[in-house]
Formats: sequence, C-alpha cells, structure tokens
Amino acid sequence: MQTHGWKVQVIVGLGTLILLLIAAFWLTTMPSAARPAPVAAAASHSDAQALVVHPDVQPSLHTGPSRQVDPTPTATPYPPSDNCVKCHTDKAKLQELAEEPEKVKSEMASGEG
Amino acid sequence: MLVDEKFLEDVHAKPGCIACHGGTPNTDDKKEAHKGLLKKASNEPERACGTCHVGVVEQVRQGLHRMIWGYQTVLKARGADFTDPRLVTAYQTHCTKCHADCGDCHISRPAALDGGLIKGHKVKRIASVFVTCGGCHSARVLDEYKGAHEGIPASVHWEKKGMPCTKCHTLEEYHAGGHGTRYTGAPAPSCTQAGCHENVKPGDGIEQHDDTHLQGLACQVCHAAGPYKSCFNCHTGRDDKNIPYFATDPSALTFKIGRNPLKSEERPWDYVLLRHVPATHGLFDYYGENLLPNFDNVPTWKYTTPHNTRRNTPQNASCNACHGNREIFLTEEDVTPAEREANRNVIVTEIPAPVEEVGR
Repeated sequence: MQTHGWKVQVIVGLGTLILLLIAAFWLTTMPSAARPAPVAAAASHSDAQALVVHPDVQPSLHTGPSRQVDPTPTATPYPPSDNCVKCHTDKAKLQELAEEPEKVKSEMASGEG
Repeated sequence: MLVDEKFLEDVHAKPGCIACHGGTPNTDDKKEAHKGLLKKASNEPERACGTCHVGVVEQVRQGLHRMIWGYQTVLKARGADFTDPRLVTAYQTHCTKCHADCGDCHISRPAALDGGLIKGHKVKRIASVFVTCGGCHSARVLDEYKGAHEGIPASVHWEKKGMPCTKCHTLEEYHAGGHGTRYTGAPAPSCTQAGCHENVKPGDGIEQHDDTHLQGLACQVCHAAGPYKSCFNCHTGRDDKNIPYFATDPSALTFKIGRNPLKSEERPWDYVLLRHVPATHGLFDYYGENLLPNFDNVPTWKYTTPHNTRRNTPQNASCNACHGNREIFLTEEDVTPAEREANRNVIVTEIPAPVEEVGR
C-alpha cells in the first residue's frame, strides 16, 4: 500500500496544479462578461462601499490589488475577431442589421442637464 | 457601430475586438456573436485598457471623473446615507450617468450624451476638448469660455490664444482627483502658479492689485467678464412607465459675489463668485422621505470659477462698479426663504461701501 501511496499523492498534486493553472488562465483571459461576477460580500468594507455607489454598479469591479500585467506585447491567446471586423467595417451590412434603440426619455423630463 | 478600417492598423486593434469587448468568435450570426459582449469595454478598464496602461488605469479607477466623488462628497455632507438602499437607488438611477471611463474621453463621445464613436474607434491620445470636455462641461464651462451667451464676451484665453482645456488643466486632474470635490485643496489650476500670471502681486503696476484686493478677492471676482449659468431645483423620479426622469426649473445667467465658503490658507479670499446649483431639499423625495436630512449643511449658491475670464470687466471698470453695487452681491433677498439657512455663510450682509474715486 505504501508504495502506491506516494503515486496517489503525486497524481492528486499534479491534478490540483493543472486545475489551478486552467482557472488562472481562464480568469485572466476570458471576458468577465462571460464569467460569474464576484459577490460584494467578498470585498473589503471600503471597497464594498465603492461598489454600492460606483457609477456603473459593476459587479465585476476588482476589489483587490490590480493585476500586474507585463506590458510587453506577447503572443496572447486572444480569440480571433474576424467575424466582428467583417461586420463592423461593412456599413451596408450594419445598416441592414441595425435596430433602432428604444427611446427611453421620459415625457416628464424637463430643463437642462 | 461602424469601425473605420484604418483603426485595424492601430496598435489598439492588435489584440482583436474580443480581447476588450468580449463576444463570441467564429460565428456570423449577430445574436450569437454578441453573446458575452461588453459594449463599452472601458466599463472594465483593467481588462480593456489596463493590460497595457497599468499605472493610468490604477489611477483612473478611483479618479474623480470615474467615481464622481464630488457628488458623493456633497450628498454625504447633506446627510445622504449610502448604506440606505433608497438613497443608493436614487443615486444610481440619477447621478452616476455623468461619470466618465477611459472610452468616454479617448474613443467616443461620453456615454452620458448617448456615446457615438468620435472617429471610427480611433483612440485619441488627447481627448477632444470640445466634443469630450465640452460634451459634459458645456453650459457651465464651455459656453462661458467661448462666449456663447449673447452679450457676454468669451474668455481672453480662448479669444486671443485659442487655448484648449489641456493648457491649464493637467493630466493629473483628468486621471486622478481622489476624494472630495475639485475645490478640495489648493486651486488647480492656479492662475498665479501655473507659469502664466505668477507676476500678479502687490506692486505689479496694477493699482487694484494691492494686498487688500489680492487677499480679499478670488481672481474671478474682478475678472469674470459677466454673468454665467445658474440652475435651480431638481426633482427626480420615475414616470408611470417606470422611466427615470429629472426636471429642473429654467436656468438663468447670474453674477453674484458672496462670502467664501471654502476659506482656507490655500483659498484665503473673503469674497468669491457663487453659482446656484440644481439641488433642492426634495431632490430624492420620490425615493424616500428626508433622504438628505442635513441639506442645509452645504449652500445652494456654491463656490464657482466661471471661465469667461478677461482683464477688463464691468465690475472692475471703476471702484464703484463694485463698491456699493448691491446688484452684484448675493444678499438675503436673492435667496429664497427655504434656502436661506443653507446659504447663511455665503450671503453678504454688508455691501462694501462706495469709495471716493479720485482722478478716474
């Protein structure tokens, strides 16, 4: 049994490491709109206050120290954007697909500002 | 949103659209492609801009333009409790639209003005002074600066030199700002310490630049070229379709000298110019009773620095254009009874007496 014990520990350790690396990669590269927002309760008190009164009510506002990112351009694994470019540089296509935003100004609004 | 193809050659386009905006690659279906889309990428500045501009984003994240600390500071001074959900709802519904993220200044018109790319998604290093700065600071800054109010001249800084906002206002002011309001601490920009008017001091050859006037009056008291915009009242709420709205009374051009409410070593003057702001006791009444219980802690006629600056102005045309001229001072009768308590410290009770003008 003991001879298998260290093997199990190594496998479990490697598995944990791989999971952590996948999670770190996912958190740093994927758009946060696509990942669950951290809850306000995770924030410190002062950051929770900022969260409450923040202009955009951003649920994904970072509450810890900023990520330190190496500004040197590298071959980052960003997904291709060909589909975005193809459409958003094509005026005729955009006009065809455009939807008029719903008017949201209240009739009770008045004055400047 | 039409993107100029020239933008695709820009370094900001290199990571690709999805890197900043999210969305779904490899599909031509509009609905599918927009899944996970963040329309305004700089809503999350650390992800969109901060991957390269690390320091700036760190600064901006808590900056004045992004967090609009001025609103929070003043509302708190008026008794707002930001742990009260009613107050938070009112604030988030009506006040936060006016904040600015990176993209509001460097890529599009401010979202508060319904956005719109300035130049096909070009990332402008220096924001457009008139589209961007003037987009938000229009009626109470830009119109005064450019002389848009009929009969009131433009600032000499614009008329003679065409100076953009960035000539006086520093990067630090745009990106940082910290807590408080823009009048917290020393004047910034300072007329006399920004490398332009540092020679203004007693004995500089201008008769009125004596100790009494220079220590007693903020520069604008003598050098604002005329009336500037004041706004009155503001009522907020939601209509029967649940659409938020605010309603203000008609604005007016006013010129009022008052007591300095922010007197300090850095702002030592007895008199400053005052402007009425669109605030009222019942500002948030729709959301709950008495949400600003200490409303009277802050004047409604507030310290201001109009931008229509000129050397020669109606009030400095002669001594008695100011001395004894009750019209240009904020007196009790200028203030509605409901607001007198709030403005007690800025109302002028004794108008400087007329003087004998010799040899003028």
